[in-house]
Amino acid sequence: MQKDTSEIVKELGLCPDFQTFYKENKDYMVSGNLSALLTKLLESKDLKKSQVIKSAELSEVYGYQIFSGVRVPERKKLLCLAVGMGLNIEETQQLLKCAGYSQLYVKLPFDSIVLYGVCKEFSVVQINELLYEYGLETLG
Amino acid sequence: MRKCPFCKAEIEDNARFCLYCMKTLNEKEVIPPPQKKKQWWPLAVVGVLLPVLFVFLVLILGREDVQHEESFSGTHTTGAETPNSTGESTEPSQGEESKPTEGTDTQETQQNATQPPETTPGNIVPEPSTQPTTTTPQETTQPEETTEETTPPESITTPEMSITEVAYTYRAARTGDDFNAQYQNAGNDIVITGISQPSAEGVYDIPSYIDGKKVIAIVANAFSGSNAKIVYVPATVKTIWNYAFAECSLTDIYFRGNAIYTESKAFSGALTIHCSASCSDRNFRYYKNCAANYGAIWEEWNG
Repeated sequence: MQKDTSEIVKELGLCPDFQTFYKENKDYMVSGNLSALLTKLLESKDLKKSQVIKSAELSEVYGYQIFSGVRVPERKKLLCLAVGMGLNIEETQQLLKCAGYSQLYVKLPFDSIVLYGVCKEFSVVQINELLYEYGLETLG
Repeated sequence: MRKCPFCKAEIEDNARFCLYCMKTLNEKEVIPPPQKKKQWWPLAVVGVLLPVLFVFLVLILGREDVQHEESFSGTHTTGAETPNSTGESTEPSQGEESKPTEGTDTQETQQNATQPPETTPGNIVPEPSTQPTTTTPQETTQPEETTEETTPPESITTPEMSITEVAYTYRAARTGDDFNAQYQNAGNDIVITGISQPSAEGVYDIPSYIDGKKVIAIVANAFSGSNAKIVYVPATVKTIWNYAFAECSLTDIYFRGNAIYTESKAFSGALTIHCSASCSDRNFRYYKNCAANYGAIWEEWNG
């Protein structure tokens, strides 16, 4: 069963010690296996790693290392991958959560532009152009 | 949008795996079990029909052979020889036909003859009569075992348990003793912080809902210094803070559900902790530990 995050936070506040809290809510914790999530997303979208790495504008070696789990990418590179795979907002947010990064937040200019790009299915280059236009750091 | 069968999270209709619990959703795996069931029938039918068909074929072929022999003998031999030959040919055939029938008869007779021994393994018939006699002691022993299983905790914790009294006090608490509780909102839920107007007899049956909101916790010092003697904790309460029942003459506390996060100093002094039978085993153990810590008595409760 999925439990609301707010509910878990409430329990965390009321719980006397962490051990019991962890035991109760272990099943609801996000598993931090990024490469597993990436491969599952690849399978579900019938994409090839090479295709994704190319459209994510990443170097090949680096891209494969991310997929195999050898390296954990920084947030921007992960966003590149998300855009390259053509993920929707929900999937992108889940990917960020899984890697331990903050989710895309609409009230931040950088994040809002990336969100806009994800919504409109922009390519990495298009998003970069938009970011540059507003004087922000580009992806990749 | 549909729901993930594992974690009930909302996922897309054509999703191949759940984004949230990462489990793959194989709809194909659901299909095989009925196929296995289907495979049962043809096997059984073939198993029954094949021997029957075989027997029929043997009978029919046997008769056809006899007819053929008759026809051959009729054509090849002369009229004088025919009766003998036919007689010879038919006789053995009849003999053959009669033999199997005799054989079957004998088999039947043998079966009949064997049936009495089968009934005499009515040796078996007395056996079942012995078996029940053997089983009945088991049945009689089983309840004893169960009673033994139930008794040890009682023997460990308390010598006796009076259910009728419990039921009586429970009703009294529900109908009688009014009290006014102070509470605070914690989101959509409620936390009890104290008592504004104490109950007359010191029996507090804490409601599980106040104004349609769940009562989820009893905060520190909520009942401290009050006249609380007997307290019923509803199933909705998950947390009881330290010192919630400090400095009060609490004698009995009844748990209707699992108050998972009961803190170790929630109660003070000797008291009897009654734990509902609907609580899970884990929490039974937990309350037992609690009881051991306080020097309190722990009891099972059919509430």
